[in-house]
Amino acid sequence: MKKLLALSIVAAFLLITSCGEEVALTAPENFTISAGTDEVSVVLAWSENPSDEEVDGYYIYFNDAIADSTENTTYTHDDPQETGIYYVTAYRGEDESAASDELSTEPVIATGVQLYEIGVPNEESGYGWNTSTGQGAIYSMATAANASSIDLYFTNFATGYAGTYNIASPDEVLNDAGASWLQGTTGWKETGFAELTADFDDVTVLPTTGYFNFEEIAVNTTYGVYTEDGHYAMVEVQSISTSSGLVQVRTAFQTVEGLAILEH
Amino acid sequence: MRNLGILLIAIIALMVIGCQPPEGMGGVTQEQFDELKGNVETMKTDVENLHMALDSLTTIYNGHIEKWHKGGAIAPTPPAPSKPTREKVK
Repeated sequence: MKKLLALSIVAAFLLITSCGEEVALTAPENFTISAGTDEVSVVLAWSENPSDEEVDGYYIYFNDAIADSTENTTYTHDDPQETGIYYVTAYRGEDESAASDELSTEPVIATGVQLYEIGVPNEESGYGWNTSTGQGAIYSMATAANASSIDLYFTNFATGYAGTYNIASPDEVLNDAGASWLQGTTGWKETGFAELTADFDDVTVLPTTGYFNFEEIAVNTTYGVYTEDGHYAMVEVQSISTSSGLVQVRTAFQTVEGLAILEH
Repeated sequence: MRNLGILLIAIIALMVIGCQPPEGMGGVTQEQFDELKGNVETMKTDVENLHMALDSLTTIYNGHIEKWHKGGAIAPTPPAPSKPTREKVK
């Protein structure tokens, strides 16, 4: 009887260990997104899950739907023409891990931005974006103190603030007859502008070439922007007042460096 | 004799006082007066020159008005503000 009991315990132990659960799947880590070399594709990358998880592959999610799967740890979303939220999961058979961090390609929109022609006294005409958050801010151009933060300004390239206005690269202040107090200063960024044919809300992908140091502006026209930091953005001119020098705009900024998709 | 001496002194005193220049003249010498006169003459010449220049300017202005406005021609517009060179950034 004693021997039978011992045998039963050993048998039970073997049964339990042989039926042990598989290692649980963990969410993929170190998830990143970046622009492809064509500037219209999105490249996703993450770290491989631990080998003891024996994953079969990874699901690619785009806007909460499975866009594709892969056995690799990188994936290129070719020319999606739209922006959205990406994340990946690991899978093994029917099992699926929790999601990785979520990352977005949606542009950051700012409305009701009020800027002034650079010749208007005591008003601010510089505007620049935080490349991490995508938030824009208005800056004074009274001195060169804000030069490293400014991505664009408005000017008539003459003294006073009459005439036609231009959206211009900050480093053009050195050639601007209406910004005489900034002559000889340094640190200004170089930005490019391209007039678009599409309306602000209809833009999907910005052109990747054809950006100039300034563009003459018109109301209800949208301009593509390429910053010195390598980010794409766009500016819609909503109103211009040459009597007050006020230019009202709304903007969109792509936080993914080098990605020209601005669909929103 | 003593009275005569007093009278003589009084006469001399009156002569000295009487020979002083009147107040306001300030002791202007003939040379200073001539110099002032010369300055006035120079100013007079300057004013005449100014008149001539003004007449010349008026003639030019009237000619301009006649040519560009009364004649129906459009006056040339001032040159447009010079923009920087447009350059491709990307």
